[in-house]
Amino acid sequence: MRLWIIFGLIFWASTAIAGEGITLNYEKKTLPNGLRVILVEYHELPVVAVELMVEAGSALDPADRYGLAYLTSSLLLEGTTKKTAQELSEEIEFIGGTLRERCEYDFATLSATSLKRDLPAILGLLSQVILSPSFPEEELERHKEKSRASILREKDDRRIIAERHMYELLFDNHPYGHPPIGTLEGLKVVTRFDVVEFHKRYYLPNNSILAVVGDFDPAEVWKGLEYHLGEWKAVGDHTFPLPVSPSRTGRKIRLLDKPDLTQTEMRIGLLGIERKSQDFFPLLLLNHVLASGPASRLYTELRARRGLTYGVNGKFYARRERGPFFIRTHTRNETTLETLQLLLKELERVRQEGISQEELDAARAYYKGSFPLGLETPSQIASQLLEQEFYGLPDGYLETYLGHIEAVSLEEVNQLTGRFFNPDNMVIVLVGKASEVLEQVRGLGEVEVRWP
Amino acid sequence: MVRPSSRLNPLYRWPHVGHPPEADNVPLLFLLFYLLWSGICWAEVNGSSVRLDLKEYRLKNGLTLLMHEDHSAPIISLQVWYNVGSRNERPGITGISHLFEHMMFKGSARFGPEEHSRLVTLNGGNDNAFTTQDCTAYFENLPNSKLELAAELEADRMASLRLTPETLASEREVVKEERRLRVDNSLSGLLAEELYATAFSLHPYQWPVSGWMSDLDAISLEDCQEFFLHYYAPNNATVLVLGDIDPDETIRIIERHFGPIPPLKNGRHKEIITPETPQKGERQANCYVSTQFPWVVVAYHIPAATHPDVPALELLSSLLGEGRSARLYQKLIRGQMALSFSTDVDKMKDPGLFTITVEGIQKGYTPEDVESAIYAELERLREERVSDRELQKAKNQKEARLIFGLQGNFIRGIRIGSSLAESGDPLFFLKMLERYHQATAEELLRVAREYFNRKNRVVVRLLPEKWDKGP
Repeated sequence: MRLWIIFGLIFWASTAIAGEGITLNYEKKTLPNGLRVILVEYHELPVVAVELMVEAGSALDPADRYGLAYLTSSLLLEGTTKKTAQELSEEIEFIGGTLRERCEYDFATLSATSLKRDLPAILGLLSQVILSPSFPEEELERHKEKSRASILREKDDRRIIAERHMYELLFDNHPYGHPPIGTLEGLKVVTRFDVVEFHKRYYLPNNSILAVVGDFDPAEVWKGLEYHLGEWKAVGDHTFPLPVSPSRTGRKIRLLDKPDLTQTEMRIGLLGIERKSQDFFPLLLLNHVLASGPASRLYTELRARRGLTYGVNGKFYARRERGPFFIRTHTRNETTLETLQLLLKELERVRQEGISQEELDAARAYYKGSFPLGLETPSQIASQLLEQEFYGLPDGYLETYLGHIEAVSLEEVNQLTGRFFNPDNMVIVLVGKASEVLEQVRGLGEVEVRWP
Repeated sequence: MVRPSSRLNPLYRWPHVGHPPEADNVPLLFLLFYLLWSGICWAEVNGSSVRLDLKEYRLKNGLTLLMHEDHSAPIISLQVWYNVGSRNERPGITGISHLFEHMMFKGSARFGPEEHSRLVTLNGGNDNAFTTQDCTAYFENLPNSKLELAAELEADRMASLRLTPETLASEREVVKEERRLRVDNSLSGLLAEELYATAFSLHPYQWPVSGWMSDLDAISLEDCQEFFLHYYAPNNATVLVLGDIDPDETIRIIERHFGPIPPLKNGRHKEIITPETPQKGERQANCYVSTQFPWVVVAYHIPAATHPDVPALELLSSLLGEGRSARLYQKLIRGQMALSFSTDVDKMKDPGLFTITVEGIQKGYTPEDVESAIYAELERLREERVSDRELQKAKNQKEARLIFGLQGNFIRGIRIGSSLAESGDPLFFLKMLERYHQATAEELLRVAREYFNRKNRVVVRLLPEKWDKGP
């Protein structure tokens, strides 16, 4: 692996990951205004990518203005005090570059790519977008309308319907309970003033992390950052704590009636973990055994043996506060009950019996072997480093990653199965044709039937 | 679980006597004799050059081996590209290429059902496969020390797939479920299926890769066995190995595992494919489905991937649809006529389509309004010369996209393999860079006039069910 990493400016560190021969090289520094910067050099291709991660996600939406964070993030690209939206996009696209924004639950990101020689240009545009957006009134109205129409259109997509209802049932009024795009009620009341204030409050250098990856000279990049982002002003000391995710008990089943469907989309969900949790690694391995990849228990039972589904997988979405755990699958209408029963049976089995040493070893072998596959390209490395930094994981986290995987014991994993996988406390969301599905699933508990 | 019983007969490519013979100790000099060429393709990109070295080696049984060395990460990707896709199918068994691709994971002489994937996962890798109209590809991405495992797994199933009634029965259901997921319960799937069924009435591109549902039910074990014998042979496949490899050692490994597999006796299976005749007039179709917002796709017939007009068509597609400064973005999205849209150029072995797909037409507009807006933009391309700056923008976008697409060992392999499948030349896609550079505004004008005309047009709409009224 030929990627050079420096810790801080003062010393170089190249950490060989035990036995794997992987050396990660990056450079990390905090600018005087509090902006944390990570540089990863990669000279295989003449390209660069810049990603800015700001703690300004939808979890920070005010309770009566769901969708504000998303609108703010979208509007960054719709004009600055110096350029119109059209000028901005033409300028970046003329050099074959891209400039995109994205708003998630915990953060918003701005990312730009270009060929090597255009790095100064994209740094300039990125800083302009972040420092002096103009938030034109008519663009806000257009984006509110776009968000509103998108929310309506989501009701044509069974997968989005399932996720929306799952979040609502798991998180209720918690900030994770509404989707980043917002709600129709929230969008109605958002004003330009709200957007300006949200930007002022959260888009701060000391609330952000910047990663630059690719084919560049670090000295020049530091100079460029100084020039373009040096005047970005920090505001005081602040943290934006989120409420603790609500815990819940009891089984809940909701069926969304979509009569045109020939297959039922299903989710089984529960409250998972926060990203900093000690349980992260044991659960990663446990989930691999249960629900991830073509060797998992669920894949074997549902697909390989019975042909009930095309895909089944589970994942813990670890966030600042406890995020959800989902199992996702789908099956034809007639086999909805059979599939659900099998899923619940497997969950009950893992809760009662845990997993075996052999299964744990296989999961460990997978993560150890696949580690270099996940750190191949500069953007993969950058996103790992951004995640580490954003969630306040310790320095050297990536370097010790395999050690963490190695350290997980069978006992530790099997203690968690009982805590998490209680089928009686799970939320089940089904999107399907109620006239064919409802009777099948009644026996599993009280079913709430709704229109999407 | 339905386990293969001992009475099953694995379908072997050669008379089965224990394990395949090992082709060990082949002298290196002898191997080098077969090293056909070492192709290097350079592309100048704004002064900095992008280089892609490919080494080609041909085994005696006709298998082509392509190697690309990259030591920047301790990983490898092994990919087997079979020269067969849904274009090689016939009515009655449409979807068999894809169903068959699934069957390749259900065990071979030395490995049980699903064991291929289990072994790859256990060794820290991932594997999968895919089928297109033109090709079927299988791949394993693994740590650099596991090349031999990948070769062993792929060679074993090329040589001796187990096809049993039990595994076919369960996998048939999986594939039908996949069809429900991707087509029957998906608006974009429905639109695409209806588009190709409308645009093509002779050529096999008229049916979807996933196949018609009734054919998925009808395909028999004998059909699968015949399919295997016809297409799954070393002289109908290319093995691509990329990453942290040593070419000489790679040749030895590939020889050892694939060398003993006998080729198809009479060379490649002869293709019998009816070409599509030029369209004589516009074709339209309305589908009434469960959607709140109408969708529409406007398409034009275009030539195969290797045709010299394709680069100009790709540049036109960029001008219309790539990025927020694109002409149709301005009109459709900023103009609030629709929620999203995309433009695309098929690059296929046989003539395909240029498509403009509009998803979610906003309240207050009809599909016809959107179509008129699109036709007005296409008319402009037929009438007015594109400015130098706009043409340069499209060229820069194509170029940057191509270079970004080379990041990552696996993706690079997919790019090379697709290029081989669509053009017969693994480095064809890089050579396109030069063609983009050479394109002129006059050429774009000529190409727009040649293809964007009504007679050549196909329009398919997805409309809310309640719009289906009257006799």
